Amino acid sequence: MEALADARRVVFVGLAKNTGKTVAVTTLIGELAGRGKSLGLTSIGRDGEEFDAIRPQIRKPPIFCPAGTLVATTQPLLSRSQVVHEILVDSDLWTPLGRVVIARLLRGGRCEIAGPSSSAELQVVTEEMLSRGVDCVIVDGSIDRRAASAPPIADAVVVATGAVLGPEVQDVVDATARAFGWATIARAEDPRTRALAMAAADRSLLVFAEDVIPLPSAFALTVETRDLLPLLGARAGIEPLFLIGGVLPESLLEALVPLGRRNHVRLVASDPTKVFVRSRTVDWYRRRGVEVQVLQRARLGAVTVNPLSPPSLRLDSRRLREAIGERLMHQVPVMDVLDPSYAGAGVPAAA
Amino acid sequence: MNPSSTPEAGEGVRPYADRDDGIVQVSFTLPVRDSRAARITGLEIAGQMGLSRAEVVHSQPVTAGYTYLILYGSFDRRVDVDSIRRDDFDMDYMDHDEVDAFAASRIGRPVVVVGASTGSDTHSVGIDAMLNLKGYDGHHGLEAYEAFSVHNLGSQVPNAKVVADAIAVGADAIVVSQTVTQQDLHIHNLTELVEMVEAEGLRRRTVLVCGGPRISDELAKELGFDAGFSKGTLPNHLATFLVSSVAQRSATSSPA
Repeated sequence: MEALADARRVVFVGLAKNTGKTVAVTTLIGELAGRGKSLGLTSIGRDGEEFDAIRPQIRKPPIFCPAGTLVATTQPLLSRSQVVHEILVDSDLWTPLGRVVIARLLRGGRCEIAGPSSSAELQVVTEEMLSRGVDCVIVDGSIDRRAASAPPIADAVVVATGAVLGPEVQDVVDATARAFGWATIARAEDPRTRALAMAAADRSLLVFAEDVIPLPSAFALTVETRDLLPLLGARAGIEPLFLIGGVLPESLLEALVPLGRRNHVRLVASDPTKVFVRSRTVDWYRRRGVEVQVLQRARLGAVTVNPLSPPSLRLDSRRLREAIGERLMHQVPVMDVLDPSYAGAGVPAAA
Repeated sequence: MNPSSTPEAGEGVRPYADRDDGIVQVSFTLPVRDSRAARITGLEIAGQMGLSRAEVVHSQPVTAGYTYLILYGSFDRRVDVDSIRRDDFDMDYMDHDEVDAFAASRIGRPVVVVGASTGSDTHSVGIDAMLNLKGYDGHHGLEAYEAFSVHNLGSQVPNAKVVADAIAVGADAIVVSQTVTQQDLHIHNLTELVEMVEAEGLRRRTVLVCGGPRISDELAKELGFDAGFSKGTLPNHLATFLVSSVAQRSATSSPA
């Protein structure tokens, strides 16, 4: 997990319940603390069934935090943990579980972590903890709140997946690839595209070679194939390039598929959290001539697998890791932190 | 915290049928033929729910192989009302005229609201009850208020369209309803809207509200909304929340 070595903000995302996210978080905390790093810990979002809207206090398993850890969680959960702590910041961020505070744990102990609900607020508490001198902030995130994985918020994303997603290795690999297709979206490399997109900021443009056509606001959100024909039809033979300022919805990709068959189309969004593809995958559209790229990639730091699915299914850990590694073109480490072969996340000691 | 505390509340409360007896009624369907086995299974379920002295008071076949049961049982523990009360627990709602007066003095322009029933949900009943002139239960919807300029997009509206229309009309608030939901589809639909509003950079200036029979305020906040409204909500409740939130936002965002 060399990718995590220099990351100051690591967001963990579990693809489903029982994918071992909490175990992965706990493992990384142990490894970082063992190397003398100081840590901050918080969370965002709702974890499927782990949340119970009627009794939210049973929401998440407590996580063991070493002495000195900063936590951003709610006052009631902190009091209930009975871990000795001092409150550093009393924020005005409100969650269903109470007001978020930032506290330093004076002794080690188990603590329930419920951070803010919006990614803007998450960024505030993360920056606050970093400004108070921690080496690394770990965010216990959720699949539903991927805005928390945006490059401005996360240096690295760790995805927890496992046998709970399917009965065979291949099912788990497919489900993982589907859920995290966005993490593998390629970066737009050519300097002209990047320069144009930077200049456009949050506006959208259509580019044909030297022609740059501004698009109306909300164009990407509402456009249909019949609106695209007059825009693209007259320029057969030149690859159209869409620079999308905000959300890139699946409806836009669908609308472009009939045109992509004749002529390759490229779309560039600012980062993967702006790309909303749910019913198919980015890869599916690419094979039909509609290619999505981003200015800034999300950094997938690692994938952790849990080969066990309660009550009884057990997949072969090594085969599962190898199959996922292959799908990710071996660019990302894939690990099972409970496998006997696991040798640590490769985090170097603090300087 | 609410400072008012009655002695009864301090000791905690429990369900009341007669003389603090804790009696509750539960009803459910089992995938078991109407039989003694179905009734015994029902009692076992009641026991595991934490009910004591459970009894089956009614059972009937619903269709082949399924039984509908009604049981009574006693809940023996107590809940301390004060321990769960919070700052924002019980909002004091303004009525129609008070909302209009508040908006006129504190905001000074109509609050622009975009509403829809989103995703695959074909039911517009919830959003119509809140927004339409006709309203619900004798209470006019937001269209009847001077305080609001309402754009009701109807049902089965994709999230992308909601966001596009919100941008087009400069919405102060987005109100979405999810009535019928399966397999937590409503959850994904709701979080996708929040994520899109965040991705468009509109989250800070847009009040986001959702509502529906299975949506609580707690769930809504956990999903990243500002509030959630469930059964029993009247248009003036929503109206109060919207004008208060918009007034608060304009107060904090304008230079002092």
